[in-house]
Amino acid sequence: MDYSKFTPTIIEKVIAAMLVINNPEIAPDIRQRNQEILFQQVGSSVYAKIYDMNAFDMQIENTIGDGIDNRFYGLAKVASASVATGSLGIDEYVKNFIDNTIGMAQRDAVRNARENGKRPTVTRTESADCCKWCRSKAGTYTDPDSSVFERHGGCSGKITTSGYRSRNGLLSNYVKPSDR
Amino acid sequence: MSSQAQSNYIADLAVAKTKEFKEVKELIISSGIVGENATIVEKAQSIAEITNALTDFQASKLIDTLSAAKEPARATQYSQKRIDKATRLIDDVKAAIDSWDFS
Repeated sequence: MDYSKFTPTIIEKVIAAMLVINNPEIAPDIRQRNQEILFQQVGSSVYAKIYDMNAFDMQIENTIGDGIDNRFYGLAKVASASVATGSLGIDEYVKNFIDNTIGMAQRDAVRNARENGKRPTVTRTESADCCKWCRSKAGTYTDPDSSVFERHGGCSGKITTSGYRSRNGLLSNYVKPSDR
Repeated sequence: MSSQAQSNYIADLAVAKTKEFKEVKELIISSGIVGENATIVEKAQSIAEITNALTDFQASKLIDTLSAAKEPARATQYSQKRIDKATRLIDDVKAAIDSWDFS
């Protein structure tokens, strides 16, 4: 499944929250701290959900991933500063952050699945006008390098992970576990 | 052309010394730093567009101008209304994420 298709379902709400926090009458360091909280919460929720869905697909439901890295700090700084430096491209930064978080969860689930003796596959497809770097990442992998899950700014590549359940049509049994 | 270090410093100063991007633009135009190239500043959508168009000397003058500007008075607390709105939006985002499934 290409999980980045979920990004459009939340992006407008995340940007709306970012704009509410970006009150120019509030001190920049306070704004930045609140943006950090926003992006950490969004990132952690996205990561947990995508990892969970992949774990179900790959039959490793009892595992957890490493979680998000600290790039939300950088995004929070840029988002907070955009009040005074202009907001050109900020929507794209937020989209990239969510897409990258999804990629991280997919990467960790595939790694853990392989370590648990499962055989997930990863397929990366790119459009005809993609960049040279993206073109070099396209293909289907059974033991992928972690860089297959990486994206650059504005990247529109599709990263599809597939485990036992998606190959056997059993995804409709998915129920969100109550302990996550 | 202004250096990357100058551009970064100008961006940091703009955040510290102004409340909004339009204030930065007004400050640059009123100080006469850009002279006849004021339209570039007027049309710019980001500070990077402005600093990329500045010469090394103009960037230095802008740094001096921003450094000399007084830091505006700003609040350190959000209004309860704004906190409630942000909380509601974050809850909406989390609910949307929670509803994701394979269908």
